[in-house]
Amino acid sequence: MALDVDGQATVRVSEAAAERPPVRKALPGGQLWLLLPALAFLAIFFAYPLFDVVLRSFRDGQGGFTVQNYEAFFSRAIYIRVLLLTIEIAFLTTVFSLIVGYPLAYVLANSGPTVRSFMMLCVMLPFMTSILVRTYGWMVILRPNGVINTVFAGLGLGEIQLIYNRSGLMIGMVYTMLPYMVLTLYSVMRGIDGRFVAVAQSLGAGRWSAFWRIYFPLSMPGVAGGSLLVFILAAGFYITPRLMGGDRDQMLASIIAYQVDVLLNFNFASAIAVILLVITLACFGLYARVVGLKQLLSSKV
Amino acid sequence: MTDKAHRNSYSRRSILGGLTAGAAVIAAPHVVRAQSGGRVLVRTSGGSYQDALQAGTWNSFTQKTGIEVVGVAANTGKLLAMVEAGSRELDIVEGNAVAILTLQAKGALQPLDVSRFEYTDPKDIGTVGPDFLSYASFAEALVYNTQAFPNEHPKDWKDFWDVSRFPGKRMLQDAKAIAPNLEFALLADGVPVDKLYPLDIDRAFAKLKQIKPHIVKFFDSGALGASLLAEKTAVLGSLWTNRVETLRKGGAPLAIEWNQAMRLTEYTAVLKNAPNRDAAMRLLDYSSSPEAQARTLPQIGLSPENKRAFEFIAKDVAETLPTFPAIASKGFEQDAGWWLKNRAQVATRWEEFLLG
Amino acid sequence: MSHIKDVTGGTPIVLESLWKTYANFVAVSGIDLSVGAGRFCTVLGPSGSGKTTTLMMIAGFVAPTRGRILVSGRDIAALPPQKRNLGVVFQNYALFPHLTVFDNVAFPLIMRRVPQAEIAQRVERMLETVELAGLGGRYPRELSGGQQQRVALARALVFEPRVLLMDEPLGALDKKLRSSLQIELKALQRRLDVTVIYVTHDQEEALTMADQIVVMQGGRIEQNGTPEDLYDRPATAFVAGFMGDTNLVRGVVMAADKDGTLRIDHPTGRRIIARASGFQAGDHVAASLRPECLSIESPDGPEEPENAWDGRIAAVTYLGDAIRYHVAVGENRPTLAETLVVKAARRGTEHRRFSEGDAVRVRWSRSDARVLPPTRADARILPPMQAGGH
Repeated sequence: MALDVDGQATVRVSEAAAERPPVRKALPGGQLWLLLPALAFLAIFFAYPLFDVVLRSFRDGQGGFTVQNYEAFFSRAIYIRVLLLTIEIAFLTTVFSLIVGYPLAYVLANSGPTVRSFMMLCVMLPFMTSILVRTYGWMVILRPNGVINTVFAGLGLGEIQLIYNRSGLMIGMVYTMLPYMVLTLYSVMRGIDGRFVAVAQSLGAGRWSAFWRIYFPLSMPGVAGGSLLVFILAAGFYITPRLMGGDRDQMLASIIAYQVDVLLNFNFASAIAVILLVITLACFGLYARVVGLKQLLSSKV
Repeated sequence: MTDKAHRNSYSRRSILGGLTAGAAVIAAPHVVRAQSGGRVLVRTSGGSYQDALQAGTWNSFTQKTGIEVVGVAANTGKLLAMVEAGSRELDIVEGNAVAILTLQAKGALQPLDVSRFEYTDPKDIGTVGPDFLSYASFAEALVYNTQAFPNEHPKDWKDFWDVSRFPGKRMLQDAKAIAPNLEFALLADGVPVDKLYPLDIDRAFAKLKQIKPHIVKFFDSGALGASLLAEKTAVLGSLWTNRVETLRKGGAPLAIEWNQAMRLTEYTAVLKNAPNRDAAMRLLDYSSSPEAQARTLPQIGLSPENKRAFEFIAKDVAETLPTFPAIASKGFEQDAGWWLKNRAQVATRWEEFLLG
Repeated sequence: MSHIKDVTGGTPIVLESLWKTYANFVAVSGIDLSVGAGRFCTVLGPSGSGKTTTLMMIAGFVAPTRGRILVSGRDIAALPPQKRNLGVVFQNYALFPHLTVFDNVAFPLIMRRVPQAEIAQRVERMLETVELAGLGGRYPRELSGGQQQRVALARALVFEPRVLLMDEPLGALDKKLRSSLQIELKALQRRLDVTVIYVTHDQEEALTMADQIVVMQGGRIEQNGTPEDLYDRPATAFVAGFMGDTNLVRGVVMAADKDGTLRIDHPTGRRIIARASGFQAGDHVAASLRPECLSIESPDGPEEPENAWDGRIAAVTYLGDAIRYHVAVGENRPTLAETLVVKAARRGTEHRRFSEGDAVRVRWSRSDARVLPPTRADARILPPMQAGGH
């Protein structure tokens, strides 16, 4: 019996699938104009400035065409080092955000409404405060005679340097990036059917196996999306590294600001910005290849 | 002033200012008159700086002339971008030597006719260029914590480098703030003040390298530098003197050693394509007058460039200002021309120094 | 409780006064149930009847408040799900979307640390059994609904559990596919000799597959028996109503003869004569009249004979093989009006004998009226000695 029934079933399902796609289909031509305001907005506030930055990066002091800005960047070992440092810091930020954010998102996605609302508020709260205020808040906590070191001193422990070095930078960066990671993970985890874990357990999996073999792989789109988002944001980050990082934690964004604000060298700054952009896009591309863009862009399991 | 921490609160402040001004137009007759007299757009760095300008200079200017003054938020980078884009939303610019000289090189400044000044005698002004005036100055000085050094405190940059006699965490300026403290390093290394320029970059960086392990942070904004000292994260540092005055008023146990302090000058000019050029010239004239400078600059720890302004400043206040003769003689003036030529090179060296 | 004799080997399941209570809600109120080894037991009930909670307690996902769950005589109530060794098939299958069909089916074997080579063998064999051979490399989303259902089944059976729990496993499939899978599932269950507890709200499905049907309502077991028992001899009006269509006519017993003949009066003044034991005058009862047991004719004379009610056709539905008439009776007293549904088989080319508005007479024989106590009270009673637990 199976064959004919299955044959029918297959036909039916593919018919249903053929009927379903309207969601994915492009808007009917008659409604495309609805996109015009958004496109105009993007063109004016995104595409044009980007184009301008790219143009500037190929200009010399007199306004002529040159590649000297790029040459200046790549001929100096120091800028390559800052570039690598930027990637390193962004990468570490991503890893720590994931380590801290994953359990947080998990609890958030799998707890009752009261706990969830409260935790959501805690996660979102930093979003609603100025980044400068938050960063100064951390400085108060972490500085040598700050809250933590006062407690340490009270316990008879030595002073530890928590700020103006890599640990301070990581605390600040992870704290700032955590909401992005948690919310991305959360949106994916909310979509994971709780029965998958239940089924895994009924099939003989312990809690850990069920999590590791079933839940975690299903949450991968969130891990991928959150990591990419945090990496890109962290790579271009500016305020926290300057206020909480050490002298060795130099990042490209800070050099760009320096070139613009102090040295007034817009063309070189533009070249660095373009390089940062290309590196970011390259990371995105590499990532998309490894993880799969489709999975990256869809939070559905 | 290149004070970055001020910038953020700035736009909101100017919006509020705009609202207040709008309300005042309806309520107060003298502001109605002000509107009929036109207006001037002034680039400032905002914050308490702009508040002081408003209270000490702009209000009385508007009362005298009927010309309304509007502050425009812009840091140096944005200022240059505005000029480059041919923006006609700015009449008067003020900025450090690098910014002004860059604008001058671009031909963006309007030549001044100081003979038409009615409030200011150009002879009293520190520097009068063909198209700019010096306006105010501040200093980078050795600042120390009085609790950390109750008896003997470091008296010059040699002492600053002497970590055995004066132990404790230090801070110096990052290149990203204005410029790195190459001058102080050379002074510490024994270069006499009159032989400082042209700076020996290699020698300065070699000296900086010696002190680097004792630097808790190279601060890159006045706010951060102030907070490092105020919170005793560093007990010794170079900092902008106007900042120190604010901290001292707030009760921080800090003191300035004026010896070997470096003065930096802020300049002011009118843009060539200024939409309100005549009104701008009048404000430039008025702002440079002794009375206006005396009312405005000491409030925020800045030193007037009009030397007659000291006639209107109390002695105890004057003694905290870097161009007050008794103080000025202890220090020296930064050679902005040298920095204009060499800053790009120093910038790269600075990154290498930090990561080295 | 009807006790069903073990007809095959395998594992019997016994539930003993099983309770599940929440803060202010009793989901399952002390049920007892025994399912013989190798039997196919369908738990039937409307949503909220406690049937899924019961299944989840057996599977281990819901902890019983008290009571015992005996599988092969051993109480498993305190074991975590992964230690119970029961196959579970969920509604919508819950196939792991990131694993291939092969890996889905292999999952329980990997969890049991079965050697690699044996896993491959057993998975292939299982896929053959459910007629999915060759599809091991596909992902669940590449399969049709019916195929997904088979994968879920294969995954739940590959580790040879002695009990298979199924929660509305065919609910997502269309009717035609569902009925063929029902037969297939039943055959598979016979072949593998596994005890099945199958939860559904579809009485037709229950009748097709089950050896034993348990009807639940309000957290209690309303009736437990063979499909024939439940359909032909419903114990309560609820069961009668749930197992197929029926007309439940409520009334009061006016007289009960020694030979079991009852005279039941309907509030409209009409009368039902039926035979049943255990009732006495004054009892409130419901008479179940199956639509197919009623006949319809033109009223003949003004007097209604025994078990014949006059009325008017309110609606006619053409069913193909039959015609369904809705007959309104007691129109003279609208508040008490009753509608009887009559399902008349089509004879030959005959179409509609009556049309809307026609005056008709509905008749039935004494033996076709089944007298039942009214539905058990819905009240959910708290378990004795709340603190007990286990």
